[in-house]
Amino acid sequence: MSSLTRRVFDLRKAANFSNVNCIQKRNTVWPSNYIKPLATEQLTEVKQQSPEEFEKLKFVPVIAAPNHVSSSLFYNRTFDQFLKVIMRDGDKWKAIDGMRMALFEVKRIQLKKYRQAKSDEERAAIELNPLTVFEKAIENCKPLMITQKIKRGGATYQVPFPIVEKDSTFLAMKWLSDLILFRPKPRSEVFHIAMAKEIVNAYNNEGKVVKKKIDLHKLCEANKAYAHYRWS
Amino acid sequence: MWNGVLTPSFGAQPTAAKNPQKPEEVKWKEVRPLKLRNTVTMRGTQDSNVVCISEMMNLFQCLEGNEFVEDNCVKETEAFRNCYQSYLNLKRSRRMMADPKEPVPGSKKFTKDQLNTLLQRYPQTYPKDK
Repeated sequence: MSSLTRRVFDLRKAANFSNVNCIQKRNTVWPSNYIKPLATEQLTEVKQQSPEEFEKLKFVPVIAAPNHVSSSLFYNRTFDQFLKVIMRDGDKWKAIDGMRMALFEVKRIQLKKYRQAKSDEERAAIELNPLTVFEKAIENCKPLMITQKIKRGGATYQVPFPIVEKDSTFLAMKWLSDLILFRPKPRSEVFHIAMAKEIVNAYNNEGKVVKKKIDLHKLCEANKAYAHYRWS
Repeated sequence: MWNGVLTPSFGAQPTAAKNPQKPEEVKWKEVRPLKLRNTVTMRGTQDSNVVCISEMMNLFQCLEGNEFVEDNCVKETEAFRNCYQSYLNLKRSRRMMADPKEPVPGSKKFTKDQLNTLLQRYPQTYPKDK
C-alpha cells in the first residue's frame, strides 16, 4: 500500500468513525458526564432563562440523539411507530403513502358524520383530526395483560402475565397491521379503505381488533387460577 | 510419506485383564486439605415474579362486572399498572446496587461479601494448626 492510498484509507476510516458516533447504537453505555441531547427549542428556552447555564452547555459532551426523534410539526410518535410495524420489504414510502391515504379516508368518514349530524352537541362530539382518531384507536386496542405458556407437571397452562406499556403498544399495532395486511382473498377493499374503516371502528371501541383484545382479557380471566404459576 | 514397505496390521492387540485392587493394601492419601476454605462463593438468587396478584384479581373482578369495558375500571387498571412498574423499578435498582461489604452487627442474614470479610478477620482454626 502506497503512502497516498494509506492516507486516503485512514481518512475514510476517520470519516466512518465519526459517522458511526452520530447514530445511537443499541446497548450503548455513555459516560456519566455526558448530558441528554436538547432540541433547539429547549436550548433557546435555557438561553432565555439562565444564560450562565447556556454557556456551560457549550462545552459539555452530548449523548447521540435517538434516530426516531424529530421536532418537525408533522411528526407524530404513534404514527411513526406504526409505519415501522406495517412496512414490508423495507419499502417505507409505500407504507407512508398507504397510511396517508388511510388517514385521508378517516377524515372523510368523520366529516361525513359531522355533516349528517343535526345538533351542535353531536357535532362537538365528533373528532375531525385523523391523527387524534388514530392515536385513540391504538389506545383502545392496547391489552392490559397477556398469557404465556408455562409447563408444569407435564401440562401446559396459559398463565396471565402483566405487560409493560411498550409491549402492549406494539401488540396493538401488530394486531391492526396484520388484520389489514393479511385480509382474506379475493379482497373486496383496497388497503387504505380497509385500514380507515378499522381505525374508525377501533376509535369507537368496536371492530375486530378490539374484540381480539377483549377475547385475550377473557382468556386471562378464565385462567386466573394459574396466576400463581408465574415464575421466571 | 509412504516408504514403499507394507506393514501388516491385525487390529487391536489383546491386553491382560486388570485384577481388582485389594482394599487393605491401598494407602490413603490426602488429595486436598481436609478443612473448609475461608471464603464462600454464591450465585445471585432469582426473585420470583409472582407480584401484583391482588391487583390483578381486583381488575378481573371489575372487568367481569362491567362486561369487559375498560373505561369503567380506570382506577383498577392504573393500580395494576403502577404495581408492576414499581416492581420493575425495584428490580432494576437492586441490580444496580452493589452488595454491602461491611457486616452489620446483630444481623442474622449476610451477603457473600459480608461473610468473606468476617472470615478474613476471624479465620477458622483446626486442632492440627495449633
